[in-house]
Amino acid sequence: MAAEAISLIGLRKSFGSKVAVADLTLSIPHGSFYGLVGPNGAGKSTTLKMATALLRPDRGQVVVDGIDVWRDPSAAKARMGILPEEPRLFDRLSGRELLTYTGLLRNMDPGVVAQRAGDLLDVLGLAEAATTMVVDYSQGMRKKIGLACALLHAPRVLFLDEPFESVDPVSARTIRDVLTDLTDSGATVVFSSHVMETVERLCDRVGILHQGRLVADGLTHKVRAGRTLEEAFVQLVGATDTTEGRLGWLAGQQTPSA
Amino acid sequence: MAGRAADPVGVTPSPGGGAPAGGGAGGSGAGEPSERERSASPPFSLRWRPDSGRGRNEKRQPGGAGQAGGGSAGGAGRRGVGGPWRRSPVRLLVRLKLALVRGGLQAVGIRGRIAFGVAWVFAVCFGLLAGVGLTAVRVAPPERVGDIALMAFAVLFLGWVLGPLLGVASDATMDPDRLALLPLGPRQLIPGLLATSAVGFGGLFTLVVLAGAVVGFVPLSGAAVVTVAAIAVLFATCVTGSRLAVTALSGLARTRRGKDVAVAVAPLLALAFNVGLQLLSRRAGEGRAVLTGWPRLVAELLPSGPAALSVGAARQGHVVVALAWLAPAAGVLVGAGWLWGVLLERVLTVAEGRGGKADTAAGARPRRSKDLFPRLLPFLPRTRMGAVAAKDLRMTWRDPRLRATYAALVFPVLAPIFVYGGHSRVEPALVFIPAGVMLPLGLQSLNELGIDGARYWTNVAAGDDIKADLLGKNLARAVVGSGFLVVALPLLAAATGGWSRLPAALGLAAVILGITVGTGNIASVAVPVPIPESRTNMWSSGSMGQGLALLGPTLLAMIVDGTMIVPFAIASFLVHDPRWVAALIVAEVAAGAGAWRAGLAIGVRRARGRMPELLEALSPRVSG
Repeated sequence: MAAEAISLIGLRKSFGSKVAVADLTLSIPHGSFYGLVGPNGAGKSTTLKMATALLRPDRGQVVVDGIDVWRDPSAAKARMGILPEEPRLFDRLSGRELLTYTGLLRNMDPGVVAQRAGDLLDVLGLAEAATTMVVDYSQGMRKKIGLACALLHAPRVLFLDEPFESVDPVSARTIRDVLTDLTDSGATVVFSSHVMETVERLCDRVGILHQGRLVADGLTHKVRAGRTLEEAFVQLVGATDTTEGRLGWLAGQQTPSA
Repeated sequence: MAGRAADPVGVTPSPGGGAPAGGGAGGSGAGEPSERERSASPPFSLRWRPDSGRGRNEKRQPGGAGQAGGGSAGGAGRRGVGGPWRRSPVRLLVRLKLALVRGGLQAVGIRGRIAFGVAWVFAVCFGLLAGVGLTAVRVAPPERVGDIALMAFAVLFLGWVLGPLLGVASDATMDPDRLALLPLGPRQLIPGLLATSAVGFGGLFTLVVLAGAVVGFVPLSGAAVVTVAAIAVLFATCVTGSRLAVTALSGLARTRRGKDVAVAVAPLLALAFNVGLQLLSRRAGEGRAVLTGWPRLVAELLPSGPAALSVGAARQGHVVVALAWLAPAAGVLVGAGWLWGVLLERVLTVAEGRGGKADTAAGARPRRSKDLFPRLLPFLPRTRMGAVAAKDLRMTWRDPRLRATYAALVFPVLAPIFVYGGHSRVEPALVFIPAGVMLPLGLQSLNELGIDGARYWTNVAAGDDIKADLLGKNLARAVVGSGFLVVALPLLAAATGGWSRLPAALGLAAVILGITVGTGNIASVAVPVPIPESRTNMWSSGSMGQGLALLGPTLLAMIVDGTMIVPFAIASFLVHDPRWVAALIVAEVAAGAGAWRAGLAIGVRRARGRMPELLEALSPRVSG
């Protein structure tokens, strides 16, 4: 087994003149629960896409569970599960059909797929909606069925992009419990989030991305350094008061242009 | 690994991060739950602290704040937003439409812009042709002018109403939902929306045609004014009818189920239109007057009817009758406008919340389905290829857009059955129609991955196997094609007496499907065009850009496929000797299979190692 579950080495990606991810180097040990946080446009989704062989980097290397992702993407994908932000699903399939589809795409045995699909639907509270088309699912149910698809092949490394976005508290709790169980079993979970409280509570390690660069990375309590994660985050990304009183008209003040 | 080794304390400040990695004054020993509780005041509250607002909070007195603030904000809203809109909503909405067209053109790239230009040239040329044709009415006998006007106006009106529903002409201003947030009611919106409809392909085309109509129809008498007025009323009726149809169906499509129903309306209308045309052409072929009996009644009852009758009466010099017809023509226009206003108000104020993505457990009865693999198709393998085929087949029925597309393929078969059903043994060659339908069916595989669009990430994330994916999609298409032929060929043979031509039709179908699916495999990976579900116009297969981007590859494929298919088609029609027919069928099956295999091999080779690029092309907006 490789020493690290995930190694990103000098990863870079630009879209036109905009550098989305700038020479990112990051290592995540096995069994970690890793939170990747950052403001909008910091490069979190781009990083996760490059780490999961969904987006080719301009340069750099990604190693997942000892396999170079961009040399042998199929072997790497067999070891990882992915849940993108707002996953686009084949939503005219039912939940169970979607799981069957995903399992067979991975060339799994149909019997194993059926059994695991049943287990996942039960655990994630989707058993009653198993035969309902995904288009009729709520946002939380969509996240959960996406998570089920990502877990079906028992991945050793799980990448989740904003798994708690637009999810109701009950679904969020279910997702949290499943992820915690997964890391307890030795698997590695990496997820991006805006919700600092969730990251602070769940993750033993955290990385803060800002403008495509990693401005902090390490054990969560070390990064926090006595502050809340939110305070640490705001200080590290250098947030400033952008309103500077210019929205006084919201409070009924007269402005020169009004 | 590197991170940990270089960072013994577990915190790695950014090597190049612009922001200070500091704030580390808090020291270690954090991590205790109490830390969290102590920092109860959220840091963002600093941005809004009372003393940093240059005194703005002083006005926030209980009671008065709400009033003063609310009143002022409302006033600002009226002045800042509502004011300009109310002053000239027509001008602003037309500018909005032009800006949308400009934006659309910027998004589609050079290929799309060329296609857009070509489409405009076509609209103008076709309009000129029709307009010049109508000028010829000047020399027609006056008593025939009414019939000609009835037909021409009916075609124009139906074109306006069906066009947007079939995705021929649409833009974001057609979608009433987009207008809900504007500070405008139906009364302000209606003139502006009518004006935006008139700006564009349809408007230009219609104006050119109607210019020809004015030249052709106007009598050289005082009744000329009535004719011009009737033509103007017709134009307004066309535009209003178009808006009314879209708004009515948008109202229906507030839920997922309603949307599914609404999508089905368009192909049904198209079927009715198609059958109507075939019946008319049969009448014409039999030398009977086209506009007598039911066709005349339909043309008269259409909203375009009174205007046409007014024009006809004016040409015959019956000014009073012409005026009498002008009144219902105007009445129809006012009625359509009123109904549109009522529906628009309703659509603008009824939230889509009950529908949309989640007309979930709460309202609609969800559709139940247990197994990915249809029971009727037990031969589908339980592999990646089989799963892709099963999924595509499920989507064929469940995705309303695909269902509508496939339903459209049935029309060419249904129409002759309706028309010739009671007159068997009239045209045995019509049994080749299902083989011809294989052409549009096969051409749909030009963009196999585009239908999946951004959802194709599911396949890419599960491992790169484009060959299994294409094979699965080809298998699904073959299943649909075979099922269609099994039903359509005997039906049509029975209706037209073409049983003897059935084997030749089957052979032709095989070669057409093989060639089109083969080239489709190459185009699918070479020029993938995402076809997202359009919120702008649910009856279209995508935005203007997507439709245009597909135009080039489709035309090219039609030329390439056509060149290969035409010799087989000609031979199929000409060869009647059973031995030669058998030889031809063997040749067709071999050619079809060869073209399909070659296309698959080229497609797979082209896509190998390019899966991320393929995915990027299918989900163009990659954000950071």
